[in-house]
Amino acid sequence: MKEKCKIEEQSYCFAIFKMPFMHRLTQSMAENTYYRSRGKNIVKVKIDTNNSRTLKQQQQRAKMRTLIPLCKALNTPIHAGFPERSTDFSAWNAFVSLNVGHVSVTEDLEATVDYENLLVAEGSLEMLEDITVTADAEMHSLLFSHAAEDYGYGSEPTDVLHAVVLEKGLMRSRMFTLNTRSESEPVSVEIPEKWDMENLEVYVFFLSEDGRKASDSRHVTLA
Amino acid sequence: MGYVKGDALGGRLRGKMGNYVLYERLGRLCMRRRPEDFVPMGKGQAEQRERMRSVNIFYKAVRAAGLAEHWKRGRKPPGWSGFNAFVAANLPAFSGQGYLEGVDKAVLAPEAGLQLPDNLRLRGDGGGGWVLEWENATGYPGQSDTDRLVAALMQGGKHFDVRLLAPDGIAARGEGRAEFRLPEGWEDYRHLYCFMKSEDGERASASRYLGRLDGAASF
Repeated sequence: MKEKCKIEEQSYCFAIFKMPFMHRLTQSMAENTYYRSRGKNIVKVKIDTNNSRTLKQQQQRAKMRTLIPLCKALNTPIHAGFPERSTDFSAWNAFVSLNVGHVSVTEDLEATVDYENLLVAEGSLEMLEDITVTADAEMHSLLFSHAAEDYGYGSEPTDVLHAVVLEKGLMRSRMFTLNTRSESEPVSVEIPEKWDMENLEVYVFFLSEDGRKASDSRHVTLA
Repeated sequence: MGYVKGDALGGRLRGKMGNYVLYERLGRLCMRRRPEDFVPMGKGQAEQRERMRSVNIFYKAVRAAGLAEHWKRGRKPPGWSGFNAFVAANLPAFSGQGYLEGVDKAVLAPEAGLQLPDNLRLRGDGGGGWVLEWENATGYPGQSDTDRLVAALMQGGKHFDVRLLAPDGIAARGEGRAEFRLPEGWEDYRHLYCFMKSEDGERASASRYLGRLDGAASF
């Protein structure tokens, strides 16, 4: 068992343990609390009271309260967009880890999401230099167009371009499969009637043909 | 690491097995112990990983151009596949960032029974086109006047795709010259490579980089 102790105002200890008959143990038992973090079993002394309420702690909790609903709203693209994440991480872990810095919280605990810098995918594939999205309010649709690309650094012509459309008010999203990197034909997608076209955020990213690699996502401004 | 000669399953055992890993490398079955911990990757390792990633994609581009068969048939050490030979030949052409910066080092085809003609040279024709000329002074073994000269073009840098001016070649060895122009839309494809292949496509020469199509060079 490896031990690591840190003594501050409230002292605490936790340890990483490997015990075959207690594999993946969670919850509390006697004076200890067991949980899993990054693929490891952790045990620490049970806390009787928790009065941690500094401003920073409350702001961090406000960030998490903002990010978790985003995870739910973006559940499908998140599960597709992080295929190269560490095996210790779930898709939601990866999304939260990448985007916690894109949520700002005031001293009044009001949280604001920086949608332009939000990442719904991350990976080693190269993203397109230029991609445009044109909104058609009458048809309630979006038209995506980009130049064709071939084999190159971090790119193959079979990479598949995906679009994620998030309706911020309803907190709902849709993921659309567009075309491959080598195809330059514009692709149109229909947006649900109840969605407000003024309240959309659009992201694009590539997945490899087998879905095992992704590119970083890119936020696209509606034209 | 150890080498395994045969196994109970007729040479089909692969993967993790307890604290060991079985894998095939260069035609031999190898076994090594799984590491308990990992040392953080060094700069050299990271750069080599980028090179390998790019060479893998470059091989797919060469295969898409129909040149993979030459690598399967080309000269290579025992136990090596055409892919192994391709990686060994082309890894030096890539920088540590994974870009094809050594365009003169890229090899599109290995020697597979033929030789390039003598004094192969490139010049502009003064009218926006190009002329390749050569002599057939040396009678190389296996060569024929009906062998075809294949010209391939690349962009280099972050672009790895290969375009052939004509899949069956632009001229016969016996003609001694070939004229061509860059097709419309190929303006960025300036790096020229040539190799000879037999009429039936079974044999080929090693490719040679002839330079950038801005100024002519002679080799």
